[in-house]
Amino acid sequence: MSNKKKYIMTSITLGAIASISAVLIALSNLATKDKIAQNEIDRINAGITNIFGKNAVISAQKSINEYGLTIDTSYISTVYTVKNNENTELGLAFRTTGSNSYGKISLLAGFDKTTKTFMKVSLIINEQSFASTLVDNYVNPLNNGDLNISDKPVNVGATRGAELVQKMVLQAQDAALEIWK
Amino acid sequence: MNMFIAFLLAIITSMLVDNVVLSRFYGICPFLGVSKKVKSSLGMGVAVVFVIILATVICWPLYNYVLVPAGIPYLDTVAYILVIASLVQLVGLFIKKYSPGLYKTLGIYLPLITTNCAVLGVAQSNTDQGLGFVESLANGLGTSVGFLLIIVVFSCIRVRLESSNTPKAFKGLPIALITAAIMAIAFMGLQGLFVRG
Amino acid sequence: MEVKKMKREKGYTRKNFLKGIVIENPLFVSILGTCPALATTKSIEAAIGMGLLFTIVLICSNMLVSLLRKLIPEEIRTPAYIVIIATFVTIVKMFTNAFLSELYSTLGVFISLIVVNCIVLGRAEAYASKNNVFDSLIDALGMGLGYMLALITMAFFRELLGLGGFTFGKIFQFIPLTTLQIIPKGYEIKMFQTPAGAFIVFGLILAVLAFIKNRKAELKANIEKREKIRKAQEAKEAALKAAVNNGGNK
Repeated sequence: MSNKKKYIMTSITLGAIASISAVLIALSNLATKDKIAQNEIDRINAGITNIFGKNAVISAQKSINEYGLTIDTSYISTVYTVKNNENTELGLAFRTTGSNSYGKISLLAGFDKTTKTFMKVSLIINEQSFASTLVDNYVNPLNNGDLNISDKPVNVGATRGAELVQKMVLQAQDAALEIWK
Repeated sequence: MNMFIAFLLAIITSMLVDNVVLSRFYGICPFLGVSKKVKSSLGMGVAVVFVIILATVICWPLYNYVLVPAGIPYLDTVAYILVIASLVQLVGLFIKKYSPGLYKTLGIYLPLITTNCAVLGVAQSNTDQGLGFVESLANGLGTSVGFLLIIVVFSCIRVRLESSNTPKAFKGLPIALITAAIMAIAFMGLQGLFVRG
Repeated sequence: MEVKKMKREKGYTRKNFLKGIVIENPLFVSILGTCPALATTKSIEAAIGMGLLFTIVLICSNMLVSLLRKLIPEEIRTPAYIVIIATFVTIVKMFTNAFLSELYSTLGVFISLIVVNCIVLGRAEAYASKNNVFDSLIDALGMGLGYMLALITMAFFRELLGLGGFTFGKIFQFIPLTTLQIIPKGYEIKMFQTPAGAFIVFGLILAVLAFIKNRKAELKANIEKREKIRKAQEAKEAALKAAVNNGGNK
């Protein structure tokens, strides 16, 4: 009889602990999920400002599937149309995400409408093992204009991460040209 | 055929290029604690391979087919660690039944697999990175085999170190850590090898 | 049945707190929790952040385990502790993602790995399950502070030698971004920021601590040896004196 009682007591205690913990976690989720979503929006806005300049603002946001493009757009998730405060369209920004053995990268690649060229890259998530080498040796020179997006990224130190960034940006470039055809 | 090669490449890159212990720092506790004898390192490594494969196979579907559809993706850490703890118990019972010698060699190190950062680390980063099932499996296999490789190599070196003439302050753990540093530098040379994705 | 009430020795709380910092420092003495210690010590800010989050989880888990210590049955001790710790880690993770998102993206998966940090589970099983809530709180504070100081020590050397100076304000954005460049740029040893450097710094710190411990033991052994020689000398003299006295009396 005592054995059975022990099992019942054990399961009740475990069940109680598990349910209390689930409730606590659900409460924390309620308390924080809005702030987390807001953080994400702030990060994207900061990225857009980084690429297009201070007066840039997102005027429209569409999923890549809505464009119905025939080319490969596996890395791209969302397309942002960017305008300045005089309502002229500045260009498009593509949110692309990919990962290799070293970790995940998610970035915004901005393209200028008038010249139909690549402008800048703004990293949103950089979980690479050699993250700082990637930023210092590839992303910054790319944004400064010291490196061309079509150059092979060999002397980087985070070669594989740079190759991933290049692949994603080139795919976004193809998509931009398709959209503006 | 293509998929098989991609799978194999993924395993090798997790094993060598971004090695689990020397580059990503998972599994350091057993790496430093168990590696004094080659036999126990081998046993520990194989047990970890087993546990990580099983954990990946269970946790990935659990996250993608149960937690996400139910709208509770944030319960992933709790769920994974419970799965891992139960898996370790089961693997322990399995080893006890079919290989009592190995069970005795592993001794206290078997329950320690639960607190091995590599197991939870792989399960968590698979879903954090949003990998597919085959990629997660390749990642897990590569990580665990990489762990096995490193821990066996390290224990062979440590056995030799025991009988050599190290300065008194360095005896034991300090010289082992310096050795690990040299290994890490050696593995840095494999960085540009090849990569999946 | 008489319940013996243990008399608390004076200064127990102080000893309880201080032991986590020096004598039983979880990282440098008990060699526990090494995974985050090597991975998150690239900069002092990251180390402070990791130490803080770790201490919060340790305090909460120690206190709750101590509160429930009489209610949790013996057999399911470990899974119950794990669930409690995992709950607090998940809560801390969510709040960090919301309010300290820079820290969240720097530490990444290592926040989740606090669950399997040997220190948290170890203290829950070794101390919190056997002592009252207040003592467990003090123990957690001491261990957490000791771990954070150990992390800061490692990060100090890795950042100073690997980057040449310290940068504050990158992670804790309420501090203005300041960089203290101590070693001129170009002369820093970048290797210390890599994994190899982490192993080297950890190994050298342990070697220095072992050296200090050996010296103390050596000095103590020397003093004892001298005491022994002195006592043997005195005994010899006393025996000689007694023999002379006996000889004189004859």
